[in-house]
Amino acid sequence: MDKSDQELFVRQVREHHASLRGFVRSLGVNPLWVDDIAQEAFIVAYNRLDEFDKDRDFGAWLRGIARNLVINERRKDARRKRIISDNLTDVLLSTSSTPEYEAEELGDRGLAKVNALRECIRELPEKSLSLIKAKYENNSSALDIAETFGMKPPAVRKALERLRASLRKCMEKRMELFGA
Amino acid sequence: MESNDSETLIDRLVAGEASDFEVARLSEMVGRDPTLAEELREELQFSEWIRHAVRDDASAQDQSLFDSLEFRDLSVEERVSLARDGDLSSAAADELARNLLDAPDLAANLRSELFEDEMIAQIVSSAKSENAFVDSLVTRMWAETNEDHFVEDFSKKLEEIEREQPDNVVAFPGRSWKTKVAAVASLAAAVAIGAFFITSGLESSLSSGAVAKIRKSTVDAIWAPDSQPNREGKFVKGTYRLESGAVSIELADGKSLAVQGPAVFEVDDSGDAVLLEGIALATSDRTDLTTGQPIGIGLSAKNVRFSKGAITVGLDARSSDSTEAIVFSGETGICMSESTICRDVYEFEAIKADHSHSKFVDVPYNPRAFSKAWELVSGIEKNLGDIVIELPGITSSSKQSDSGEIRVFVERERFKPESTMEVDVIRPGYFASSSDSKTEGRALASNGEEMRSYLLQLWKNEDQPEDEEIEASMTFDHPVVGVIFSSERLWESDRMVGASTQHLAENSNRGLDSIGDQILLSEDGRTLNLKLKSNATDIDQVRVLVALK
Repeated sequence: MDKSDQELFVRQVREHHASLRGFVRSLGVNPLWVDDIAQEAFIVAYNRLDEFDKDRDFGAWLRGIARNLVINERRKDARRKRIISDNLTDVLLSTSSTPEYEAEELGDRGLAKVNALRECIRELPEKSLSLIKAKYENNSSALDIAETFGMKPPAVRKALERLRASLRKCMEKRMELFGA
Repeated sequence: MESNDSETLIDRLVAGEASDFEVARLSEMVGRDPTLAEELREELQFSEWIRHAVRDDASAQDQSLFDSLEFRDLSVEERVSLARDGDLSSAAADELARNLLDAPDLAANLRSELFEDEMIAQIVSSAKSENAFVDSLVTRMWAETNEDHFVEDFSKKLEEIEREQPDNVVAFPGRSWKTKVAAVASLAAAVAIGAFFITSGLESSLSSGAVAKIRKSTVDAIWAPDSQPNREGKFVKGTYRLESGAVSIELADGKSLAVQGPAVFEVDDSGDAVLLEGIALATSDRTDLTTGQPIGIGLSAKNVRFSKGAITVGLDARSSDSTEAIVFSGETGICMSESTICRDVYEFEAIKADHSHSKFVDVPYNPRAFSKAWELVSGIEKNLGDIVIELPGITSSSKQSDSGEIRVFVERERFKPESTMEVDVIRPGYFASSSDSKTEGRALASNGEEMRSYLLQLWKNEDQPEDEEIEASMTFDHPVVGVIFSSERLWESDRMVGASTQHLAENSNRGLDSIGDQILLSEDGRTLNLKLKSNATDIDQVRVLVALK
């Protein structure tokens, strides 16, 4: 594989991976297995690329494949499941309708959303950033974070909730103002 | 066989034989019956003592039920919050699923929140970074397919798809085109609303210390953390560093600045700007009422400043030894700040200030370096299809393309038509094309208002022997007031917009024809959708006139 092919591949995966991983997580997949399912979707896409209807959006097609992979998880033996709960995934799947709809709802403009969010996270005060990192970088539970920060677990959850709400607001504002 | 009897369920649980269904069922029963809950707690506590007596850890199953019991005391919102934190056992997740079945809004909300969580994780966790994902994917692709050429093959296939199916292409009749045009129209409306909001917000924000505001930016625009605009995209007087991408910034008095990263610049409260590093392009839409001359932006760089107003100028300050200045529209003077040396520079001319010798040197007009910034100020959202927005003063492109494309030339950035112009009739929301007989026309009177003229031309792929069909769509940031797509009216309007037609054979056919060419203007009059089919002899051109006010 020469360098230009590699660069091209990176560019194309870059365009779709963020929204695909977000979509997979939104169906109740265990956070530890999100990337695994997203990668599997890319591999299935490769194997079935000839079946792809070129009038459709490629990102939405990928999400359709991922959706089917998540549906299949329900049939697996409990030890091999990559979802938290069959019932929870069922409910979340029922609200997700079709891949075309998803393109408008969650998956659309994934790269722009990540960039906007990155800027918002950069602006967080130090303590808030540490809290976010403890949760999302170290994957610590609310209990562990509470111990580290000298807080109670419900207070940690509340603080994270407030932080996420403010990040969401910031991201939406940036998306709107910056015409991303 | 699964049981519904509470005593049996407790026995089976204590014995470690209860199924997930039975655990969930028991949770439900104890939730309704406090006495049973107490009985269960005692049983479990006792069995726990025994367990600890023989080994150190508790079974996951009992833990799951404990969680489930605690879970019952929480509100639905608190349960959702737990789910979001991942602190949820399988039984608790089942319980939450039951809650969400009756509350689809909450379920949809949880989905959005989980989506956001994943985004945050991708940003803050190195293990979830883009590089980590790509590296792992490449390895896995190779491992799962045992094909060394897998990635290469995949890249090529994806590239083919991208070429054949650009993002959000507006489908023409014969496809499900209605919904897509609606989406385009709403996108155009969103752009229009955004532009209005920002422009109108600027004046009021000046009083609060802000001197400028972001109007538009590319998705890859990244600012240095310690020198960036505030969360609302506003700038106070000071220095800013754009690390990558491009942004267009609205300054005071109708002036605007487009900066291309990496760049460092200063803005002040007079609407002027200093470029310390990088590339910037400045435009001004104001005219001095007494002289009729444009009021240019006071853009300067190291030892270089523009002395007179021009409509659009650019500075390239990437080198510490020299600064290149370029005039895209209008004419101006340029001076060395530390001396009295000045030069007049005219439209489509470029000049280089040599700092070590303190002199100006003429250089060829080559605006390619400004292409990213220009796309932000060209007035076009190049949102759909194979479109190339050409820089001012470029009449033919040196860019080579593997496929056909539509090239957009800004013919005149700002002009007042001397007389009425005849344009082709195009009804918003309906397709039009030029027929063999003369296409219906109408007179377009400017009423003294300024316009901008764009020329759209289908650029064929010369290596493609067969006729090629290109679909594209573009949204303008000003309303389209006239479209000319018949050959005759294109020839008639050339002089008015100052178009150079030297490269065209006299009276040659250059408009759209009825065989394969179609054009559609969206209902809101801002988005133009084109389907053009090339042929061996004719040129496909469309002139678009937008009102600047």
